[in-house]
Amino acid sequence: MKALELENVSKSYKIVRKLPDKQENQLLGLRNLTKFFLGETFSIIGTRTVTSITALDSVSFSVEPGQVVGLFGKNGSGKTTMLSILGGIFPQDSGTVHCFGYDYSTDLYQVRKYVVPIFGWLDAVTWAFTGRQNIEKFMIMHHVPPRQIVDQIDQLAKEIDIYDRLDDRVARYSQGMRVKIQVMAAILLYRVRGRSLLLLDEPFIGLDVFVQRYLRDFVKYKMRRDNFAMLLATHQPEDIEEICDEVVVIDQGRIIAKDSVDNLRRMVKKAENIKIKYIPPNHKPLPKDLFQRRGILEHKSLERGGYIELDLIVDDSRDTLAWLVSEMVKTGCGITSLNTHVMKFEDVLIRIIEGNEETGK
Amino acid sequence: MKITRALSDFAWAVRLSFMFFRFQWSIRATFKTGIIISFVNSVLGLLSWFFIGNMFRTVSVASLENYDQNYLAYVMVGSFIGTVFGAGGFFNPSGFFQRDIFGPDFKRWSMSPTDPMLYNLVANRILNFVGYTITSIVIQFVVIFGIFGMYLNIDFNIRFSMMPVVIPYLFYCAIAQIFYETLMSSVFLHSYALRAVNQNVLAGLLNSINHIVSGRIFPIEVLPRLLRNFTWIFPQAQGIIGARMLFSPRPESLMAFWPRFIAATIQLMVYGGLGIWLVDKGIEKVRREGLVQVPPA
Repeated sequence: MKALELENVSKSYKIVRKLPDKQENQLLGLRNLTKFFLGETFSIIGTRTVTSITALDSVSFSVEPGQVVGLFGKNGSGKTTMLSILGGIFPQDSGTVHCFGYDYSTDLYQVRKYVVPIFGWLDAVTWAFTGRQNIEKFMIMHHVPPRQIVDQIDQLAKEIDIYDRLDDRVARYSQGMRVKIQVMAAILLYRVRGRSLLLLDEPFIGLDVFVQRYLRDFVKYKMRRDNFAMLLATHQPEDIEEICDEVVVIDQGRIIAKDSVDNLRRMVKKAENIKIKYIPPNHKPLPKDLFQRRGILEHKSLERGGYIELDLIVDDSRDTLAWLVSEMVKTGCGITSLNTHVMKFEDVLIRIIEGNEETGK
Repeated sequence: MKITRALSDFAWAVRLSFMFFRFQWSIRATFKTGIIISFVNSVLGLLSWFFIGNMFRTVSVASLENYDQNYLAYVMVGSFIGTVFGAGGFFNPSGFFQRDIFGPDFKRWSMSPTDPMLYNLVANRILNFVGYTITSIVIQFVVIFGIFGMYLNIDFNIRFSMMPVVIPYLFYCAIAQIFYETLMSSVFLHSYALRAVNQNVLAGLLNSINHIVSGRIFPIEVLPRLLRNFTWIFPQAQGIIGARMLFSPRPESLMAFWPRFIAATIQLMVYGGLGIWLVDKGIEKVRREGLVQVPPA
């Protein structure tokens, strides 16, 4: 005799709020996002001329749950503007943004409950308060009772090496220590939130290498979960390469590439790097026209103590290398070292942006 | 739903204000000598008015009848009433947005569900009001009516029994004053030029007029007719002039008080509605233009 037997038992619950169908698989969705800013010039006679600057031009992309997306672009390309819009600082001029099914135009209040910002440039700590008090302030601003995180503060402070100064006034902190407090607050907020949109804009500014490593590992290994999305804007391509699932490359307010790190590498066809150190014949460098043939895309040379260091970017190192070495030997060069490697991700990103600018011209 | 949210927001804003207040107080409390110096400074400030008032001990102006034509008593009472408006930090409309809205914290505010306006306009101001104004009122009361009144033999000739009515009325006018400040501050948001020069010159001008017509220092009878009309537009004037009428032992003064009360009520509604609407629009405008932080010229 069975004490309890269940067969085909089912139970359904009513869902109070259903996400709109088209955003169901997207945690964050931007569609034709456009933003203009006012540019201004002043004259000595007191006139002000205002011009409109397009900061973002019809930007569209989406972020799936659990995904980390990197933003890369030159200064003024629109990365911070995009993160500021997503953080709720600025409204967009046109286009739509959805986060967790909420529309930024109508439900910004709800969205702000999920935003966790780490903006390295935003020195928004209260200097009169201690580090601990600033964290408490941050929690209350985000409608989180400080008692929820009070047990975790000391442990986290020890991990990022600010425990000894946590009860000191922020006015006596260094720039890096102030960023640490903001990072701590964001991590604690992230821990108590059920779901979150993490916005990181130059989060490593001013941080020492140990904290940079900690934050990088935290983002890479501990922050990923289903109800989570992260956008990381940085000028450090190695961070993007290490942390991000996808990369959005922005130039002049427009998205010029969006793909995984591997696919972006493939986009920049066969780009490889050759470094050769040689002693030139008769102390004269090789003729420049030699480097305009056989798949050589770029060349740089540096004379150093009787040697010349040659740095080449080529289509295919296997094809170029054998030919180049034979040419150099023919001219009497003494090759002392030779290295080839796949192009750095930094070079890939730079070539994508430069390629876009050349196409634009 | 909206009411629940508003109440929740307000509760968080008050909590944040308490936190600021507690921390600020804990820092100030470490400077105990400073508290004594503040007290002495407050007495010295009053003393300067005392010497001015003492020069005009006997002046024949209708407003001074309640003070036996004693200008010194008049100006001391005015100073006491004015404290209610001055101590809570209400007289800084130009600094309001510069400090609280255009600082880097504004971006931090914007990324959180806490409404910066709610925090600044309601929660923080009320706490300032409760914390600092009441302290100042007590100090001033002790100094004016205790030290000056008792030891210098000033005959105030006012109805102290009206104090339970006067204080709530002054608080009522002070709320209208907060909204007046809000309205003045909104100009700052709507004018790029004011933000660029980092100075709300319009508010400064109105403050100067307010200073003259508030009835704190000058009896309104001595003002030109044109300036007398301005007494109807400033909440502080309703507060000080109205409170003087309540203090007055003459029965007809009570009748003259009601128009002041009605004016304060109208100002509360008009300045409140218009001020909050214009500030909301102003913040929306600076956000849209991306000029949240204008570098000062």
